[in-house]
Amino acid sequence: MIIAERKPLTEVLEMLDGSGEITVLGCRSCTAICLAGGEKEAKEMSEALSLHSELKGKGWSVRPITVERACEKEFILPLQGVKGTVLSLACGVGAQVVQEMFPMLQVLPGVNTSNMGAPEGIGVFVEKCAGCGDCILHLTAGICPIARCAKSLLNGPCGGSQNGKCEVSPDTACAWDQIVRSLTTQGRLDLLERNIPPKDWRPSRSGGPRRTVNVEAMPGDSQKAWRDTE
Amino acid sequence: MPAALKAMEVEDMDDVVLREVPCAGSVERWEVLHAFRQGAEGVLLVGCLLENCAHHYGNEIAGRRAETLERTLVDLGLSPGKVVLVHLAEHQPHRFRQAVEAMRATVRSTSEEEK
Ligand code: SF4
Ligand code: SF4
Repeated sequence: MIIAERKPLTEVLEMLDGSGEITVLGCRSCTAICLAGGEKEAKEMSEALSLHSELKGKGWSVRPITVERACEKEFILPLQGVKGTVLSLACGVGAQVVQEMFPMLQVLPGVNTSNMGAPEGIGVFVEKCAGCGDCILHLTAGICPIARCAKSLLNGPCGGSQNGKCEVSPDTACAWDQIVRSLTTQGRLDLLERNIPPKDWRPSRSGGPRRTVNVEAMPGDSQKAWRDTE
Repeated sequence: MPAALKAMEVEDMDDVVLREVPCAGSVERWEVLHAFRQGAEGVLLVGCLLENCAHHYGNEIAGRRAETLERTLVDLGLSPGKVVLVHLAEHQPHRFRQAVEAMRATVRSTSEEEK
């Protein structure tokens, strides 16, 4: 899932200065799970903005709309007819899809989107994947050294690994310590002997926005056109 | 609820609006903000005594929410102390009364500043 956290309220209030009609957009997918921008958070933000407007005479008219998934065009149709400003509590992807669908709206980010991760405990979310585009989890016992090792080492651990912790912080597990333990549990420690070669970073962030195509899923004509270009 | 009702029997509390909830932890932040929009000058979240929670940690949740709400309300332009969590048992109407009096005092002392 995509992990985001709420922007400080004061920053949001500043961003909204001069607005009139404001729609607070919640998303029931990732940002709801990480408690940053689901239905409850959208309602809360809407109440907070209305209260601020009433206290300070801002003249805002605010309402919340929560969609199933803000990053897919089909799901954001409930925003049809909305005017003015949209404060998005969906992730940066959702905010951009909404902006693309409704170019006349001013879409503002109400959350800071940071990574792809998973809940580790109640209220705690940890990064798991950096979207490198060339996955090597099969060599690292299912633990990603790109996202979870502070140095993204491919052949760790480094000398800073102490008692299972990474040298960057005593709160951070050393990914390579975890990899070695996990390989031991699986009886695959011999994998450590295998040198992981320098990574192919081309599928990563080097060439602008990445486009992933599943030709099979493309409708007839566009599929043919795509195949012809290949 | 019984403590509040008993307190209200003996003392005139026209300025207090009671809202019954199943657990202090069930009160969402947006509901408290909404109460302010409806004209509340302060909100008391009245929970059971700590460690008496029938839902195990409803009280703690309410406590954390009250802290978040305090920061939110200050950011929105209200003075501090407008959301307070009090813990009491059924037979402690005096505690409810004290909490109401303390909130009245807070509201009185800050209503001018907010203008
Ligand atoms: S190796 Fe790359 S794709 Fe695989 S989990 Fe790590 S960052 Fe993600
Ligand atoms: S201590 Fe572990 S996680 Fe930290 S940089 Fe070194 S190998 Fe990576």
